[in-house]
Amino acid sequence: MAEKASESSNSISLNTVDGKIFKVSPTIANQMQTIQSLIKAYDSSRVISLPHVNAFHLSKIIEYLEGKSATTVSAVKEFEAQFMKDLSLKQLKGLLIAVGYLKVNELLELMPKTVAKLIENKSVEFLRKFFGIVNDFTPSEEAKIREEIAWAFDGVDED
Amino acid sequence: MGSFFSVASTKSKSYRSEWNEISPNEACKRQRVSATTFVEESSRLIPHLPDELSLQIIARLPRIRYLNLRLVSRKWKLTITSSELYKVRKELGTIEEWLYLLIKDEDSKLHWHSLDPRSQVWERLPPMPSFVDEEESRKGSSRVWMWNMVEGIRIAEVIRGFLGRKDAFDEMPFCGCAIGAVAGCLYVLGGFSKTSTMRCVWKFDPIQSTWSKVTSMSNGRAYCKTGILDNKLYVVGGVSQGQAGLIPLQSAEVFDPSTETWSNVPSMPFSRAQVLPTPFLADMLKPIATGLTSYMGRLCVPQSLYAWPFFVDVGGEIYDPETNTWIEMPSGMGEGWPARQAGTKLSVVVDGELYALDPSSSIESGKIKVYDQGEDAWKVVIGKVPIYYASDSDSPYLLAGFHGKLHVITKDINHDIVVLRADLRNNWDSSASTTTLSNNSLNEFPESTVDSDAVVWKVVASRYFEQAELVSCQVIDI
Repeated sequence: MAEKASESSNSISLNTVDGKIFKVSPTIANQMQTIQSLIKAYDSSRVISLPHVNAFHLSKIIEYLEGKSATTVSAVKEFEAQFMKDLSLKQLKGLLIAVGYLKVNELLELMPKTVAKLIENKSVEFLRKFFGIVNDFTPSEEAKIREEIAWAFDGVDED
Repeated sequence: MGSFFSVASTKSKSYRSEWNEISPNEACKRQRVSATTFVEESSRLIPHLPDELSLQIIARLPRIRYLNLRLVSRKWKLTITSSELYKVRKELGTIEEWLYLLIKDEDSKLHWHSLDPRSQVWERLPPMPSFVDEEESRKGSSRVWMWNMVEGIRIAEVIRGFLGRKDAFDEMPFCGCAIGAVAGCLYVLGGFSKTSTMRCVWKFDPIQSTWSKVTSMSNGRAYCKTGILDNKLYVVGGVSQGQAGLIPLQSAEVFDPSTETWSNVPSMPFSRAQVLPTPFLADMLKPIATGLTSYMGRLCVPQSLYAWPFFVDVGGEIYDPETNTWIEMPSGMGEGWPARQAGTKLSVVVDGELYALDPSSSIESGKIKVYDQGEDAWKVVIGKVPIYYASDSDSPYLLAGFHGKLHVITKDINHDIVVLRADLRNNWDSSASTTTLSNNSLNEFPESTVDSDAVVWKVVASRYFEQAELVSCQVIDI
């Protein structure tokens, strides 16, 4: 979780979209490419606003970064598995977007891997709904693709 | 990953411009942000997520899902049918090896099916274009003429099998075609069209799931042999329609898929055919390439001489791309080469080892042999290949190598096509060297013992394809 302000004089303050202020060490902040480039651009005393990240997702990211640095190399896999297991699919999606926005290097591989594993057997309808993707095919375009799918999976009788 | 981060960093500019707009007037800022993101979001794979990250997710999904996932949205369809996704899969190491099986139905029509060995799910490929090159087919002389020639030179029993009916050529596009797989695509080369041999080449791109015509070969060929060296597709031999009927070809050519061009390769010298005792025999006996496997960076071509009703094995020749020359095959390799059946794929290299199937005349005793380079000899590695169904098919077995293992494709007692994985328990050379001092001692060795000790068969997948017969197979990894 967020570090206490007293712990570090040069800690960086992050303001989430839901109005919570997190103070993080430069070590943690520098692992987020987006924040790293902002620290360079501004003086670090300023509170950095994160309009796309809420407190829950930021706290999870910090928890991951702090937890991983405190874990021995051999136990990292176990730590990561446990970290991901605690998250619902919906939370994972939000976290994925936050990670993508903040560009948290450490999570840029693990997040897609975890999400891919969870959605690999989901239906097209589920994916559209889950990710909020709009079906932009015309009915005839969609029918054509469905025909191709039926051909591929339908066996050998028709010709 | 390197490219991923470099792409990501160029995008950070747009984020920074948002940051510069941070102002006390929160409402005003929000409005501006949502206005800019609206356009962006609708064109993204997954809203609110950089496409590079979405690509990382899609590239990790099983390929068997891709056909369905094209339905998600236009952008998803575009991505799944683009080569960029498959580059990411390569980087991530998520490429999958699939088996592509060519079968022939009761009406002698050819069909392709792919198998994902992991999920055991089959996909039927779009039909090969039923295109007949008018110009090429008009060149053909009378059908009866060629019939006589086919009988006369007796290319192989296989051809006769294909010509079960007199009008077979009219109704069988791609009869006698060769197939190959290179750079992630399938190729169908030549074959007969009516009474002529075709030069044309068709490519199936599994990413696009479409057939397209590519540059034709310089020669019309049917029943030629194919092999891959250094990401190039070689075609060797076969027969061609000449003025006096079908002529066996010694010529070879190579296709570079990156430039889509054909180049000439020196013709097979067939040096053994030239030392025949009399000019009469030399004229009578037609040399034929009866197989082709690329092994240790070279093309190994076993050869035979045919003259009705004779059939003489003459060893083989090896093409070395570094010297661009043919040399004679080591005698043990050439004379012992077990598979001699035109039009079938009975040898395969798996994990650097050259395997060949010895169909044998009796159904019971199909064997798989491995070539021992040190001793220049073929050794039985599997004494008995399971066959449940006495098929009169041209190719009751096929060999394939994927997932680092040797596979046999055949038909079971229910007429299902089965894909069997051979798990070799013992190191073949240790077991072979103790039990096979010569061919004679090998025959004395009880096959059941060899069978149970050496190999465990596992059914990878099976499926009923009506009365369809096996023709050939290829493996593609993307």
